[in-house]
Amino acid sequence: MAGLRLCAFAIAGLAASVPADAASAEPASATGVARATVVTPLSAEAIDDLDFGMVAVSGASGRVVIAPMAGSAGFEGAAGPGCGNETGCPGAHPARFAVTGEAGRGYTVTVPASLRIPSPEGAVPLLVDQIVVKTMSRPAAGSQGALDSSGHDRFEVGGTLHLTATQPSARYRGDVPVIVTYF
Amino acid sequence: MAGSNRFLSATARRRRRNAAVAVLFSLGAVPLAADTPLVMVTTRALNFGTFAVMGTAVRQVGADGTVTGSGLMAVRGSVESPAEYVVTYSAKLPVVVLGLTFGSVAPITINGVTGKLDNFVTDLQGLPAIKPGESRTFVIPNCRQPTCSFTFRVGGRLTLNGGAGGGTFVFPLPLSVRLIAEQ
Repeated sequence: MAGLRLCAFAIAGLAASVPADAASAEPASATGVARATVVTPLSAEAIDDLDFGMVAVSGASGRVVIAPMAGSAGFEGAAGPGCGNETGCPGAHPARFAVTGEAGRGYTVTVPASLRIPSPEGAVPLLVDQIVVKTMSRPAAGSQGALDSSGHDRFEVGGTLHLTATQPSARYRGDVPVIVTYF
Repeated sequence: MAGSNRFLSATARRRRRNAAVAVLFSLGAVPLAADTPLVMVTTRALNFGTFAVMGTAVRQVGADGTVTGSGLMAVRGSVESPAEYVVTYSAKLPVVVLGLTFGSVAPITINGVTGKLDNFVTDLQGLPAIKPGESRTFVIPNCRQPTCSFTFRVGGRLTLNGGAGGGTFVFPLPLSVRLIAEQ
């Protein structure tokens, strides 16, 4: 009887621990990957500044509009060109930039919506607003462009200059921050 | 063997029975047979994303997907994720002890930029970190029958040194698991 009890206990114990068979439990391997894509940093080189040219204001306020990829300035209100075809007279043109980076990758240009250009004589600063960007690769996509197969593109920045009737005669100059990033 | 018991005294039989019971209790954790093989597959790569680097950059992706870093500028739409592995095994007991071995990961240099991986982390219970070449054990406490399948994630740190060149870095992440015991 004691032998029977031992036998039953042994069977129960074996069922709880299961016979060892290391050979049937082969190790399993899997090789995953770690991936990182490093893109060539973007660089933007200024080719031309945004220049509103020589402007004359006659007794009232006016505006000068420089559109990117347009070629010439538009004058509104009392503003008009300050010179004709004289040699040395500064011509109006948008800012022009060359972009270099990862071939085929898209980028976006960020500019301020408006800015103030300080007056050299303490007068009211000039307002430049409606600052717009147009890229050569995607002219209809606003501030977004795409680098070509060699990693190059160009974009232009225009804006609208507001002039008052009492604007002092001077050469005004300001900085337009331009940030170019991949998207 | 059973026949020889007839010649043992009652005391000797009791001693033998106690020894058998002691052996059975000591077998609480033993290597076990598997009805289906131990299988591990990778279901997601450890992805550090897409970014531009200037000089030296560090990016850590945690096992929970947390991303930290410095010295880089991520491209919009960059996707980061920890690697994901799925292990499948038919367990007979609810607690499974497995050994995890992590193979070595060599640095890679592309276009003058050298990438190195280290600081590997996991979300395995009791195994928050593991080094290349290291073997560690971990426990799966609720391995449900008939097939136990569980997922774990591996994160790591990528360090990039060198120039500003671009490229795609792909590091193999060799992992293997082996069954140690069921409890």
